[in-house]
Amino acid sequence: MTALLLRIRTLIVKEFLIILRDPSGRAMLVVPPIIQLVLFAYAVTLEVSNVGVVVLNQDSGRHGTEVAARIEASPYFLASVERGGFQNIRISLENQKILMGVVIPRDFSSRLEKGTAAPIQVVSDGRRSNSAQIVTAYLTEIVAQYSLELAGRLEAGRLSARGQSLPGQNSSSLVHGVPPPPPTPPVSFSARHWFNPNLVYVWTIIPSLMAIITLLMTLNLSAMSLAREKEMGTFEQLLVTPLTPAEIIVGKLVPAMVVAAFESLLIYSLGRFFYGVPMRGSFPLLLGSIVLFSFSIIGFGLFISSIVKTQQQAIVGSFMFMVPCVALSGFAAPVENMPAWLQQAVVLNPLKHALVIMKGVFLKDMPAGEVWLNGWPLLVIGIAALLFSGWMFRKNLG
Amino acid sequence: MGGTPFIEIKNLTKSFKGQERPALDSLSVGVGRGLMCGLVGPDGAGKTTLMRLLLDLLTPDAGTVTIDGLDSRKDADEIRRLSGYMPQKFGLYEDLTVVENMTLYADLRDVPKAARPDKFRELLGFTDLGRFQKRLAGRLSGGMKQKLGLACVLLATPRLLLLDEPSVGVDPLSRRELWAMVVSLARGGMTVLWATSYLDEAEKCDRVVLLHQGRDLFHGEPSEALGPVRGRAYALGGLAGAVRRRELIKLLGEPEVADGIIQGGDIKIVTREPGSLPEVPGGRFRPLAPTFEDAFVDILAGAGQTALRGESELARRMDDKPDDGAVVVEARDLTKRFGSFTAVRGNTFQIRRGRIFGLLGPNGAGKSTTFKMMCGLVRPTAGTASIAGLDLLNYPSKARGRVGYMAQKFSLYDQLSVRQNLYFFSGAYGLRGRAQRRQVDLMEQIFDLAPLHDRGASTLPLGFKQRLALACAVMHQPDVLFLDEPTSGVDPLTRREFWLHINHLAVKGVTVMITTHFMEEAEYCDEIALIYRGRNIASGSPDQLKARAATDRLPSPTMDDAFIELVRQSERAANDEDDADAGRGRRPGSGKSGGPGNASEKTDGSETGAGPAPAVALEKTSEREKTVALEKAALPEKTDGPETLMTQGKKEEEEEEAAPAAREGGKGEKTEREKKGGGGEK
Repeated sequence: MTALLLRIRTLIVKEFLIILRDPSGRAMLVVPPIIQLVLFAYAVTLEVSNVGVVVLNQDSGRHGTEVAARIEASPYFLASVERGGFQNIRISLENQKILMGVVIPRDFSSRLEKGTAAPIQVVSDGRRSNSAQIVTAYLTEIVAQYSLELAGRLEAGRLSARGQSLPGQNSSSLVHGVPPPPPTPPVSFSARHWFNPNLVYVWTIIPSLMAIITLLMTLNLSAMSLAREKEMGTFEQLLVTPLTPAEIIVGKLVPAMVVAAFESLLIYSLGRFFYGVPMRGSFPLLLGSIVLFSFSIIGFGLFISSIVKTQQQAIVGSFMFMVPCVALSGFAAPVENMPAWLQQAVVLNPLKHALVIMKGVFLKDMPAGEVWLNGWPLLVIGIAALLFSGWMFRKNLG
Repeated sequence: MGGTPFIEIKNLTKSFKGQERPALDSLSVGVGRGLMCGLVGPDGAGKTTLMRLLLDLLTPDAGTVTIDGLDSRKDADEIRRLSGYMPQKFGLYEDLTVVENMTLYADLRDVPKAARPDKFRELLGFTDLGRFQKRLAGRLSGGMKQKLGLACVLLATPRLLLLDEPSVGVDPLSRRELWAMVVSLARGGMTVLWATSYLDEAEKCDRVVLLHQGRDLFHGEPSEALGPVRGRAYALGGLAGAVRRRELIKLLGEPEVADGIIQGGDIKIVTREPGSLPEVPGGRFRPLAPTFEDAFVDILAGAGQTALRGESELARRMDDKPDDGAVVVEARDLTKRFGSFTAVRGNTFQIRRGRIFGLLGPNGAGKSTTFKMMCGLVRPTAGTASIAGLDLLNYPSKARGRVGYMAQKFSLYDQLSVRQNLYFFSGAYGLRGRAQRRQVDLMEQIFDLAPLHDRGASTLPLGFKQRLALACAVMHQPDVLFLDEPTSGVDPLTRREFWLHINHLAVKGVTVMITTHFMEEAEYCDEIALIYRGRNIASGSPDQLKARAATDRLPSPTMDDAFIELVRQSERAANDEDDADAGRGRRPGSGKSGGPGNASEKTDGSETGAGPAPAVALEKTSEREKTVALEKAALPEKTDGPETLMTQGKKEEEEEEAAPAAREGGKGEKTEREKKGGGGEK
């Protein structure tokens, strides 16, 4: 038993020496994750604060002006108020200058005064449906707020603003109607975003990035490590020693898991102290889950490593794994929006589970029991991948 | 012929950044037109650098090169037009067929369309690739790839041919064919520069430039180099296995002896002075013709570089193994099948303690697969392989613990330092604590690695890499050493040092199994198994094999000759067998594996018929005749049977390569891997 542990220790020491021996290797562990973090956190933002909206106010009455002014004043997007024809909106939309055009019709004020439904038309760019959805939600809120206030002021006035859809301007446009606000008596609704009250985008993205960057770093590390040994000829040299395939796998697994823990700690501290994301949950639980996650990823990496011959093939292999892994994780597009069969299939995606856990522990203090409910698939995936690579190992031996 | 030679090199110097000494150090040499010039030297001697300088692919630090009156710097384009260059890894497109590759190179070299059919026919005939025109280059064997490379280079009818180690990884049979082709080109007036680390090839050249560590040690006719060692080479014969090894160790301690190696049952020595022999009770020395290698070692000794002599410190510090003559390595009916293709069939051999056993064979004959099965790198389909009585299947880890392994290519961790490598491998073999530290220190001391121990392994000079690899393989005091072409490409001194250790280790009771292409290495063996078509076709001591291969024409064959002759004899026997089979109604010449690759080869063969002998220009000068006679021995005799040796030889190579492909149904990546495990040897 001690002999076994010592042999594995020898392997682990060797692995660390190789990872850490030269300065460029050490830099590779620190610099890329930081660059990725900065890029992701600033550039790949899902916020719409830079999105252009044009309000075409054809109404000369006070209600139209008021609503237009409120939209313009919204901090969530860049709105400008215009007068004139619809042609402007059409061209700006087509050129992607703006995401959305809002048309307040000529009879808006008079309809409101009369107490009949007063529709506002919203034309949005369907090519950017995600952002459009978000902006529409903000708009709906503004209009609803206004109609509530109006309802409050004109106690008896049964005013309502009703949204109505018009056909799209071109094939790429979607039209979102503004849904009717709640009927009178006015019920003031105020949204509260739990766990991230100010909807700071960085809050939701840092926990996800902890998992994603750990994925990128450790998958590459583990997929390349055996492939490199095969290329250099050291793999055969290893196989003729008394080391068994299982020992060699453990010898690759453990160092990669330590690197994963290091990477996630790096992202964690940057997120926590540089971006100021609050940590609500238990830190050991967070670290434990990221290590569990890395276990499943390294399993995949070693599996890739066991079926390829060269480092080049290993890069292609890990890329082929990585892209669907991130795309189908719920990071960019919610899993709930996927077709049912795909939702079932993504159970195999370690990142999907990891994102639930990371966001959960980080932002809402997810309890250990629930972490385990989301975490056990990671364990199963990792073990299965490792068994597969062990099997491939043996198969390679002839 | 004017006074200036075809190639004139003056004071040529080239250094590379980060290297201690120049890759080429003020070289001045001339090569006459139409000569076959050997550029000889171990790896890292500067051969490739010189070739690249000739073609202005590198810029010299100093000195000039003139080729046919053209300056290599100013008229580089002109020089490239008149020369053909085949680098070590020639850029064949593996996914193109033989003919497509040739067409591509014809396009690149602007060979006129009208001239192509004749040119192609001539070259395909010359290189004997006619039957494989439609085969993918990636599916050719090592020797055939080199021939195709040569054909591509010859398309533009160069006047100067530069070949960078064309014989590396090519078995003796194909090596001779290639050599014969190039000789015939030189006879036709082409100037040829043939770079090689095989010193025996040097003797056959018209001119030799011997490079070592960037310096020109000798240039001129090979016979001139042999002058100083004439009358100094002797053989001491008639000694049994281990006795001759002990005797060599003793002889190397004698003051009269300058150099000594084992050559089959003999000890070969080179004395310091002609005729002054050491006293050996009961031993009789007979004079030998010196070889180019003897000359090389002598020149190095003149330059103050000598090999390690006397006892091996390494072996002296190792524990004695019991002198019980027990069987330590055993293969019983070892068989490996890849699908329908049998790479190794029913191989049986035993190696007793303290013996050196060699596995020889052409590329793809199954020797590498056999070797890998003995190391536990490939699992046998049937039969058993055992080390020290431990079956490799049942006790893989324990059995491997008794083995030390040294790969052909340096395969330690480049990224680790010398000491880290030593610690890692000793740890992998279960050494720890004080014992581990002691062994590591000992190795650093014995191999002079101590001053280098913090250096990265990749930055070591070749000789030190060799030492480190040996050190990593023996730290755990293995019973058995497995060596895969351990000294290919190293200089003779490094090889002597290496064999000094191995010899002495064998005396101490370490059993050695070696696979090699290199006949000098084969001579060190007590017993050799010649593997061909997956079968052990001949085994015995080197002298026994040579005796079996002796013919009237070649009464005292070299190991190389024996190798070729025995393969041929086996061919003949196989053909007879096939003829008999045909009488019983089986398809003649279907071989034993009968894979789909074989069938396709048959149809290929019927297109052009089997008449492959490359044109060898016969010239009636005395020196030349000897060479040609040697080459003739390698060539097929037309009366051999339904197919000649060469077609058969090729067919075999092909079967190994084609069969896995057929099995996999074109799954490229998998085929590649299996081929590696199966037969594609380096």
